[in-house]
Amino acid sequence: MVERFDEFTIEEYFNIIHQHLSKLDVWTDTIRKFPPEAIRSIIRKILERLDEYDIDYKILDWATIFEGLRDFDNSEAFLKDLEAKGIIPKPKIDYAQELLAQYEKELHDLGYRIVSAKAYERYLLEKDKEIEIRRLRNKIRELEARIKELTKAIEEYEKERKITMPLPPPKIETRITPLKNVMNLDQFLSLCIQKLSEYNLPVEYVREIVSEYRDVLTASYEQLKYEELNTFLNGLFNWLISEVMKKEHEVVNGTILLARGVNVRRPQPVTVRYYAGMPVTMPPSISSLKPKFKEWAETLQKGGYDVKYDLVEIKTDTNIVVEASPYPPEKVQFLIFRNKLVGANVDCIAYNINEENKTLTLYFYKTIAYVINALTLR
Amino acid sequence: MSDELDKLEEKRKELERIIQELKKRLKRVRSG
Repeated sequence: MVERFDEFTIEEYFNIIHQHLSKLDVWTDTIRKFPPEAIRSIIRKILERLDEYDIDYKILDWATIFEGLRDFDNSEAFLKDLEAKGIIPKPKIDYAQELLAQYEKELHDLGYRIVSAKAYERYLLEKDKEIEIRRLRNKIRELEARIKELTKAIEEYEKERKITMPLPPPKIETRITPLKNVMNLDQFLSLCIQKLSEYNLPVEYVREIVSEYRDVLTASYEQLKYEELNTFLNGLFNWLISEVMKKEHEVVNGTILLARGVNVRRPQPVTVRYYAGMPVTMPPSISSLKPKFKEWAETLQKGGYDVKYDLVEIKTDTNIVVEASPYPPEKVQFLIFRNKLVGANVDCIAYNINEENKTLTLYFYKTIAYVINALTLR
Repeated sequence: MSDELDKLEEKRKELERIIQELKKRLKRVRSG
């Protein structure tokens, strides 16, 4: 058997376990019963076992499985328990023995079927006799083939103390590896930046947003399993959009409060002329909606608001369709852009129509602007 | 049919003997 690990590997997992058990405040109790060298020895045995089957060490949740170590009397009992729970496979020699017992039982059952067939032979129809014989023959052939393979494996084991395999792959129940066992937080954040950069977002913005959401991403990192990493990264962009949306809505609401005289710091918007040069069209359906806006505007004007209103619908030649409508009355200075790609409402701070060159400029907060740009360019 | 069944029984017994032999060999490996 070729060992794929060295002392550093043992030390690496030892540190993970040490850190985790210390965090749980059970490290002292554990080493009272199992001194560090005993723990290292258990790690070595587990690594050897995984090597027997060429199993990736990372699939084990090393920190968690050692949580209960202190409840065992000795390391053998601990390892047996891990085997029973399907966390680590049994040694190949045990596995081979189990297979032998299983084949022995199958042969015993076959013997019973042969005796029965003989006893009831004269009561059976010719056709049924043939069927039963064919079944028994096939079963014996199949068993013979399996036994031959196992014999070869045992011969191999005798030569090199290694069973190469006809053994079916063992069942491993816990294919859950905390991501933090595989990479550190910085590596994880770099992967997030790398993934988001694939969406045409400006790099400086990606860095800014990852830094802004560092706490949330750190929490995800703490909980994520290694096996879930790709799914997480693939969903990161949509998650980011929804997070940004939430945040931007809060900002816009803050601005509304400012307009009412509440002291809230107004964020500085960035102007994006992302529709520059695109002709603005006014579909006929708009005119029928105008009276409704007029009604809202009048109500607000009566309430002392200086109201400017208009309705614009833009159909672009990209796959983004934005529709603008006034906010409900109390938010009349803003527009909602329903962006079909984002699947959510986007706050636009203002817009400006230039009748001369028939262009429309939309004003968004920076983060939204970047997201819309990213979607437009995609 | 009986002949066929006898042959199968013979084959089955042979496989049983191989299993017993393998068990002994594994035991030797384990203790050795």
